[in-house]
Amino acid sequence: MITAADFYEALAEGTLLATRCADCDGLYIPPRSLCPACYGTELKVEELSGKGTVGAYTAVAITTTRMIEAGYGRDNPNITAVVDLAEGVRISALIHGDDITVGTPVVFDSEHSAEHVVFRKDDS
Amino acid sequence: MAQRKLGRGVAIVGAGMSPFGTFARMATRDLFVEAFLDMRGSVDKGLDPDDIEALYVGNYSSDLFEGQGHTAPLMADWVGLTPRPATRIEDACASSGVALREGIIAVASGLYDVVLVGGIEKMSNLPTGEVTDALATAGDALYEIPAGFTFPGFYAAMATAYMHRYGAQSEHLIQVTQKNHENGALNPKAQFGQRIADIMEGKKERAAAKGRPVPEWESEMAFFHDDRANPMIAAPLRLFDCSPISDGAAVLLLVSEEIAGQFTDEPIRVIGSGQASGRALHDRDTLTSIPAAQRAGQMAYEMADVTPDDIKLAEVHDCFTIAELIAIEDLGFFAPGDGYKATEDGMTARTAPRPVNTSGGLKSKGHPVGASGAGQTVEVFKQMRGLAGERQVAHDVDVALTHNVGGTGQTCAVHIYERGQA
Repeated sequence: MITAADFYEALAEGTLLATRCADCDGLYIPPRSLCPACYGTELKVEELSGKGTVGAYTAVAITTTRMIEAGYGRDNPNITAVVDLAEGVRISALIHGDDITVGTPVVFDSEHSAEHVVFRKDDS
Repeated sequence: MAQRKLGRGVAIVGAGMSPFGTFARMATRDLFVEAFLDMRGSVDKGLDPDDIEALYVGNYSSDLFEGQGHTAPLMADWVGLTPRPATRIEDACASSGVALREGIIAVASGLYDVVLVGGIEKMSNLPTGEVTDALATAGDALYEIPAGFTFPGFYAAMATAYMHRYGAQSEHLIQVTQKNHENGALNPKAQFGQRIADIMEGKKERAAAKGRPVPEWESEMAFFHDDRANPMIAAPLRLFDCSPISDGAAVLLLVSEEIAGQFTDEPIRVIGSGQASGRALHDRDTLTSIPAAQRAGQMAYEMADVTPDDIKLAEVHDCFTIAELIAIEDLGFFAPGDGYKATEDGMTARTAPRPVNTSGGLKSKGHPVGASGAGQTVEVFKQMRGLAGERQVAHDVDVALTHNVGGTGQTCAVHIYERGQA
């Protein structure tokens, strides 16, 4: 069984982990061990490219205790987004850097991802 | 598979609520007692509480808000219902919309003839930061919250997707606020029952009384754009795009249709009930609508055998301004992307043929999360029976709808009501 513990362990090592269903080809991030589409149980771990675009985003001024402890808040809102990944799936991510909007290309920031999934603007 | 029908007819014959607001000296149980007494007073031919057979109560998180778990038997006890069965339903902000559905199913099953449905929440004990944390637990604590989402943050993100796709502006969002405060000003139970103009005037008066510079705004929009008066919560949503932190309770009395005449000559029949679940926001095909709401709506319409055009009044889940725009599209009142235009054109106003949130909605009336769904039904009960006082709509409301969302749409409950004759 693959769990969030595996996901965050891989994240800390710089990998964005997904699973793919051997039966119906469904791709899942966060990774799952049971395919919700076909109930298949043979899911293979797959590493994603880390490329995507911003699907929706916000700058959170009144934020959670967890984010305040990480240095965010009213004077430094955390930018948080739903990222549309190149593989056709989505993930919630913290965005480093500003000046983004819906459609902005972003890339997985493996260096800063550990407790949170972090993406940054893709300038390439 | 065709939509199944209820095993037998169910009617609402009583509905009441506490005022919504912040009440330092009242605990959840006190609010529940107040709502119970208000409900009892609404039963035309009287209610003997001994006839109540079971309680279903919606409650999101007294555990986090008040340090109180296991709330259902406590509520039952405080209104004299023990040892009758008491069950708590938790589906975030849809808790009491779902409790209503469970109560309906219980009566329709034939197991009970008389059931009490309630909704409760007491949120104001905690400082805003802890309320933010408590509400965030309705999202995915493993994969959404670590990314920095809060509840306003989720809906703010949906707002950016909606605005980008359909061309809506933040001024369109705030029109929902203006409308709902117009309505809430006519609701004596509302937490912020004031028109925006009156709120602006109040701020000026308070500044003058304290000897501070009196703020001047050229218009309501100027007020909404003022970072001090209307600070950013989660961009693009500001304070006045958000429903407040609230305390409150609401109570409904459900009976089998066969015995409704013992309680009233004007029962409100439940003709449609739909409920659906949904995935995390990042796990959906769309960011500009709520699939669970669309599905729950379809289920309710099919069961009731009515269409969106038959609805004469709706209470929808406007926890944030964007949520009302998405709701009126998900329910089929307007096409996707037309909700903001319809709002701008006054098509959801109290004077329109199908008004939305005549109570003031969660925005103005208040949003004690676990009580909000049952609170919506209280408004429908009053409007359908012509008892909504100053805010009573001019047209006959023979068919109405409520739409109650939990989280960002991981839960939705939709109900459709018809005024019957016993």
